[in-house]
Amino acid sequence: MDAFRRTWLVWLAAGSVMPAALIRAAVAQDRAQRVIEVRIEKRKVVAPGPAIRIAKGDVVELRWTSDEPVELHLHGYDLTIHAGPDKPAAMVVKAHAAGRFLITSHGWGKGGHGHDTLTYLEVSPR
Amino acid sequence: MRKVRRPGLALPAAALMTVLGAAPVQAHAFGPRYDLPLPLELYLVGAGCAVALSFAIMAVFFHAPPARTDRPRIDLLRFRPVQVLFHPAAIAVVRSISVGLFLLVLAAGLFGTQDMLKNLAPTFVWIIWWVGLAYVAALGGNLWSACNPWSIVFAGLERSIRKFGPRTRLDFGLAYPSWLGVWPAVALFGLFAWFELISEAAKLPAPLATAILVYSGLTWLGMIAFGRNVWLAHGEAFSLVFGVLGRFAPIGAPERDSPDGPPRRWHLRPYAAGLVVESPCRLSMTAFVLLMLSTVTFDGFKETPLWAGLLGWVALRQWLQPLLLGLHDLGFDYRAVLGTVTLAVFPILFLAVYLGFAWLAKRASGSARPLAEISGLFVFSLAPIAIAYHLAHYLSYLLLAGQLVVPLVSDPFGIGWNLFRTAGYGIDIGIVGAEFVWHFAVVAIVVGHVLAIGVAHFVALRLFGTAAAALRSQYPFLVLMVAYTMASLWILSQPIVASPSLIALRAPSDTVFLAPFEFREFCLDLAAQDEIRYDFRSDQPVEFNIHYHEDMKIQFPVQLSGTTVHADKFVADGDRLYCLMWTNQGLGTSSLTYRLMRP
Repeated sequence: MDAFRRTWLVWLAAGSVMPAALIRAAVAQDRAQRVIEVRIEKRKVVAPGPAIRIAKGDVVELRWTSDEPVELHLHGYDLTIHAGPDKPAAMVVKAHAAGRFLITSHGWGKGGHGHDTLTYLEVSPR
Repeated sequence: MRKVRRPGLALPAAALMTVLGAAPVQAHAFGPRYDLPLPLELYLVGAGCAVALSFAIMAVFFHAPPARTDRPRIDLLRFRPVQVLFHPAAIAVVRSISVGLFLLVLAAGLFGTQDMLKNLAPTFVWIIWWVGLAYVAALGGNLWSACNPWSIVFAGLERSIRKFGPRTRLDFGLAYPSWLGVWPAVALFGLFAWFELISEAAKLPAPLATAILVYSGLTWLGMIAFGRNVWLAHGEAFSLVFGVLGRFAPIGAPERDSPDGPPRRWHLRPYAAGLVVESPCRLSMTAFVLLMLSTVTFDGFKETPLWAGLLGWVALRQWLQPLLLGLHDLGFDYRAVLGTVTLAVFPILFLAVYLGFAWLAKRASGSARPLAEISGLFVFSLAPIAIAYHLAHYLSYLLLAGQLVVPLVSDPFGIGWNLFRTAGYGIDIGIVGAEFVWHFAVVAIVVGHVLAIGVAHFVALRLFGTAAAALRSQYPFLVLMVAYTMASLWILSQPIVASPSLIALRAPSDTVFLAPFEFREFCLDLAAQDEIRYDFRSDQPVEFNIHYHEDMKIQFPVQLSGTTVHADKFVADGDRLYCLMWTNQGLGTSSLTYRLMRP
């Protein structure tokens, strides 16, 4: 009887932990594969909105498309990529620190414009 | 683009403007700022705690008999290790380090690289000295009085000149006019605030070092005229600033028999106890404290989306366009001008509101004491709110941007040195968690608010004698303090944004995008009878003009409104700089394609 109860408890514990672990793994999987499409039109970010919001610990791929060639710089994490009409560019961010990080553009077209604030990457704490 | 400058246009800050006005305009704050705005729930918790604690304090403490505010206190000089700090050798070391750093910053600013992040001067002055020393002064004690390089250098010269005879003096010992109060410090701190918060040149090494030299000259002149200690007490703005912060601190100023004598007592006391003043401070000191508070608030306010929106609204006003255009073409950025005006209005507004509430407190308590006395006694009670806000606002900035100093100590001039093997250090953005910063901010704001009420409570009990009159006097101040605390919390809950950009066009043909209130211009020199052809198309209606400046007036040979497509030619009627300007009048972003041709 005692042995039965013990086994039963073990199974119950395993039964409740396993799905939780599986769901957690699935969520982690989901998190690891997260892609955020960021579209620039007329030198403004039109999608996903005024700020890109992720959480600390996320690994996200920011996939940039722009209707004209541009250099993009994520401050803080200090990542730089070049994007253009025929050249979508990916920026992989391992969000180890929370904060609100500026993304600026450099060298638009031929007008010789300097820094322009495009959007912010907001990493919220978990 | 050529900037037209007219010598006849002088601002009060003309001396600084000529040095600093030529700086390029950038929309970035100095050093990195990655703060997340305070989340709504923490904002509400902070606000709720502040209001609830206000009433709790009113209900409980105001019925208690007046207590001595400077108790408990401990004389630190009883401890032998503390006495070592006042050993001549220790003082000499502190003074040498201070003067050494002062000279190093000046040298780096004047002779080092002009890249602001690779030169020690901007980081050291703005992050380590201005923000960092404020933390030390408010949380520990007023360190500035021990390491003020202007005072140290002058005192050193005084000592060396005394060798020539006991009567030889470095200063003229003029009698300081009593009516002048601390107004020189008010004026100098006002100029400093403008330099810090408005001028883009403050971040640039050489202009920064030049400004320090100018201020050093003024300080030493003041010391030569009136004597070192007189000037430190009335004219040296930073001694007064750190002095106010030091009143909040738990470590008081060492008590001495003479200003330069050995310390007799050095007290450790509760936070904010030093803000409970025995005698009312003068109007100039009241103005100085309120100037400090207003610049702290303005500093945060100018980074909120509300301020950015206000700038945009102003830029869109048709009736302001000639003025903005004029300022722009004279080389002034309208954002800087508007910031300057607001910076000037803020302290006046603070003073008016504060005096209004002091008057209400006088009425409520039925006191016969003059308003000047009441306002001079309670003004320090607002300081904890501003100090708490300042600490909350700058915590992550100090911890993140402060790291910039690590590589810079190895290479202060930015010329490739690596003295301490730290030149390659990169900023660790994960050094402090956002949640920690948020909780620190809310706790600091609530504690600051409670301390402010506590200070006002002690002052009121001492001033009005009876608990009932004291209680009545506190209702107006309570309203003021709750409002001030809410404003601080509100700023912390706002995302930090840069103000909208205004960029001159450089290419004779291009496609540019204009936000709803934006205007752009292309300027070129033409001789009389020169002809240009131009055309443009826009998907939003734009206002278009060709303008030039004639003395103080702006002439508009061409002016069109609500245009989307236009092509024409233009013949110059004189030798001068003409500017073609487009302002987006639509509600959406305008894509503007323009071409300019000379036959």
